[in-house]
Amino acid sequence: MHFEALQYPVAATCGSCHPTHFQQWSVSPHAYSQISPVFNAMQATVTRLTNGTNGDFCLRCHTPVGMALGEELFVSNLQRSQASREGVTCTTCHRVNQAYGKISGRVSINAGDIYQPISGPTGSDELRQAQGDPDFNLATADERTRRRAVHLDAVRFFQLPTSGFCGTCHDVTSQGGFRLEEAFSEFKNSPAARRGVSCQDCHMGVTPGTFSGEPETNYAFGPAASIRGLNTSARLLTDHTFAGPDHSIVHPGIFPHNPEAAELATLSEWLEFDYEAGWGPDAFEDTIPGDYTFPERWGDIDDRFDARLIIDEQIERLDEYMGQHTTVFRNGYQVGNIVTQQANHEGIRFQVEVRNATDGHNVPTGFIAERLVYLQVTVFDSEGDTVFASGDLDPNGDLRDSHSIYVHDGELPRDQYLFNLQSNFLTRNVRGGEREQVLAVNHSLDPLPFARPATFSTILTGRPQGARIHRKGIAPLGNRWANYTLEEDALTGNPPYRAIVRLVAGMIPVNLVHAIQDVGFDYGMSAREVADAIRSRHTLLWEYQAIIDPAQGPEQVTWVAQDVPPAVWERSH
Amino acid sequence: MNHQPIHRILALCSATVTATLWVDGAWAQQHEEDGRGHGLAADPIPLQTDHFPKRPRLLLEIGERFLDSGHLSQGIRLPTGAVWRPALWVFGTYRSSVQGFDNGVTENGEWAHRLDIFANLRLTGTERVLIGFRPADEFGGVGYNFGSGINDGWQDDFNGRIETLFFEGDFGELFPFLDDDDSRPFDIGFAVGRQNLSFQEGILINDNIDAVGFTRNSLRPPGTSNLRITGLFGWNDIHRNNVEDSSARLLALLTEVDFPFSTIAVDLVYTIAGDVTGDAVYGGVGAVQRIGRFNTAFRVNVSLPVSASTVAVTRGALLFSEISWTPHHTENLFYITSFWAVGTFSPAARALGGPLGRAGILFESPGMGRSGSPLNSRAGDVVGGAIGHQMFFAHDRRQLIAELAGRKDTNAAGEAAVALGLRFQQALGRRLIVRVDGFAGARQGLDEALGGRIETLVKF
Repeated sequence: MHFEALQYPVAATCGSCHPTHFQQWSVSPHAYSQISPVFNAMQATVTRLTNGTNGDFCLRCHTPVGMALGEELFVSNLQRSQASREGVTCTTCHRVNQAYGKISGRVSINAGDIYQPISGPTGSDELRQAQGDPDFNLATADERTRRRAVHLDAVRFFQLPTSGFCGTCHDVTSQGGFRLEEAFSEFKNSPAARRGVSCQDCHMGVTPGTFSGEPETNYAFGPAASIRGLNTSARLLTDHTFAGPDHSIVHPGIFPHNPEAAELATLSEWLEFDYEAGWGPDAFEDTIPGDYTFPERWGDIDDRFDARLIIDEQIERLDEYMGQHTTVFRNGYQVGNIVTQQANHEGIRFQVEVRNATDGHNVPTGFIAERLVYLQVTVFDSEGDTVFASGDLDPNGDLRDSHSIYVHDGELPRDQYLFNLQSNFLTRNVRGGEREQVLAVNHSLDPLPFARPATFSTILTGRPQGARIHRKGIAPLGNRWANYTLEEDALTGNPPYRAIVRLVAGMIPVNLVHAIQDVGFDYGMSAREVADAIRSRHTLLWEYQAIIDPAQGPEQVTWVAQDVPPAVWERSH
Repeated sequence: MNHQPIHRILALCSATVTATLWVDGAWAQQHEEDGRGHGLAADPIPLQTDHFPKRPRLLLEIGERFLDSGHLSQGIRLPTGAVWRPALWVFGTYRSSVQGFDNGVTENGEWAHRLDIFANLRLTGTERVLIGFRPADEFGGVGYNFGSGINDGWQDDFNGRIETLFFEGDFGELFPFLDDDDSRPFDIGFAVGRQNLSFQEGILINDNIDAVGFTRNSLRPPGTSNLRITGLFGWNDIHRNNVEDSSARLLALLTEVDFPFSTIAVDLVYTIAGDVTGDAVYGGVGAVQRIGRFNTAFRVNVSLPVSASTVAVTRGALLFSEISWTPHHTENLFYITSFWAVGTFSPAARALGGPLGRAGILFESPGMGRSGSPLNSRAGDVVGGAIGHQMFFAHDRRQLIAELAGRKDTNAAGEAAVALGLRFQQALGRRLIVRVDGFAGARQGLDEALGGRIETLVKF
């Protein structure tokens, strides 16, 4: 391993003593932040469109160790160091000991081997106890050799358990003053902040996306470390899963991070393991034709069997994550009232209320210009034919908005009823107002866009002159109504009509995949594969159905909530 | 009228466009594999790392390099709890242009230069000091004038005037110890010093003035997604009707709200001034939204002298609209702008030109040398607008804008004018832009107007 890489211990090293934390983190969006082929292609595209001037802006949050190591801005993750691939890894937070404020991820991570101090929320009492217990056999400042290598000190870092620490990355403003993400700023001006609830309370508790009100019930309770079967004393534990809108779309052999998987095969070898073909189990192996060929690494049936066990475990963990992903969404978004205003032979009208159930920030928050949360509304006649659709997807998997290539090219009509909480990147046209863009790089004003510090106060204006985000999210505890009208001529087919209202969330729109595909996706994925993996994991949050009979009027329409199972990762396979 | 100098410049424009296309053609061939499709590629595209652009260095980087990888320093912890990590970055642009125009009355030719240079002292993610100079192109400019018979010859009005010098920051970030648990909304942004201010697309305010401003952002009144509200006090270097008014003090309340369907900006300005120039109230309301496939922006700006109109402020209102759309299968842009000035609208603060610059490229001055805009950009009793088409080529590195614009007085002053303009822009390499402009126009009661310019712009 390269000497510099040793200065930033990898997560598996920490996981040997902190297995619970490691397991939670290893499937988290933090752990996925650099693994993501979409991120890798997106940051490369933006940097290319800005002629290299965007530099490490995106990467500082997504692979802080990689950037501290001075790695290339655009390479395959297969060529990055392990600590770099781990994205927001243990050292990203626990080797920081200064409150840098809203610095868009440009924090200084203290370099040093495993013995160097780590930052924690409480300090070193537990560590000292464990070091003093011969059963643990931990290294101390006086004696390192023949003892287990651990950090020799744990320093209380006052900011670590506060929202401000999250704000060092989750409030992203470019050097040019573009407010890309404002989760922390939104939080600072939220009811949650006023009543003393922190980011960690809602996003590191037992139930993601909500705070129980009391730390004792909000957080898990158990040992922070477990070494050779010996546990340190029990205490409140924060969950490091950080379930959110992102999810993996890559081969389960390379994510979640798994030391056993890494021991069995390299990432490149894992990419050759065709788990979707069913390699490994007897049911597959006993039926393969004699001329079936495997890559050299997977020619041995025992290796395939071992790999399959790991893959099954990985998928199980991804499924668990997707369950939490669903939970955090459902704690953030709710469908309120559905009001049927008209149901007769002249037409049907109804309203759907979508609520922000959180009081900590807008929904969506964070990377709001690429987050889909939309209503999918379909009305069928009694024969099951569709008489009305909104929130449906085009053949690429996009909503029928201005970014749909099919809509843009005039091949499909714009969805005029579309309710989508995605905000929009806007770039200022040379003349003619502003237009929506998938990426906020403005060529209309400048054929050679450069990222440079703003030459005026963007704090006063809230944005640079060339681009901004039109924010469309719902404020904390706020609501928004979607209106749907089926005119008389839409009521084809025989009544009664069955209406289905679904609230659905998507990680990113497919049009982003289209916009960034020219630089290539990592792991040999095609744009089509990436898009399908994203579209197939749009998460259904809530569903309501009603039977609407125009002969009976709106009073007789009852909207019934449907059971919605948690999302699973494996659905597309 | 003898158009010889202008004809030569226009001929040079044509030659430049041809040469530029030839040079970029070679560049584009190297990057042919970057071509975009209209669908999603079914086959994997290898990572395009070979020609990936390196970070262009700034003119000067002291301390942490600008957006560069590498280990970051710990910084200095202040008694307030803030951690500062100072870094100085010097950057800017240099423009050089051969330009000439004959507006039907006078003829001008010049080789003009403009250097904008800034030093940004980054302290934290939110705090910084910015100082900016424009050593060339101030007052008489730096370059060579020809063709007019007036002030022809070399100009060397280099200057050291500070155009920009301000500190901006966030109280919550400057004094984090006041709010250890982040439960209080102390994230009040502020900026103090000489700074460029532009509101309502520069129609209401577009000036470099000495001012202090305070901002709250991320506010969310019911039904909105975001509200930014800024209070501003300007005390020096305020230009009214292009003339510095040393007696003027400016108070402003500037807001912008994101609704789901639109972004609304409401700005109010009160200027306190001496008897000669006079107090005045200014207001602007802007709404920016997409309606179907059309991008739209509508603005109303008014200027109201508290007493009688003066040389600095006149009574008037300016109605302004911008509409654009992107044709199917392209990323090009069609745009239509229109304006109607009732009375004479005068901006609250503006050092150069008139408030109609946003109406079209033909209402916009090049911002260097003696050349003005092909069409008058003042907003007094006039209607007009522009229709234009911006076309993109070569991965957006090349563009062509064709525009037809005009204005007609509404007070029988006999000042109707119409013009046709072309602008070609081409990025060359990583730092250079070549821009060529040409226009032809006619103005009521005067000879035809003709102009052209070739500019190179270097970024660093």
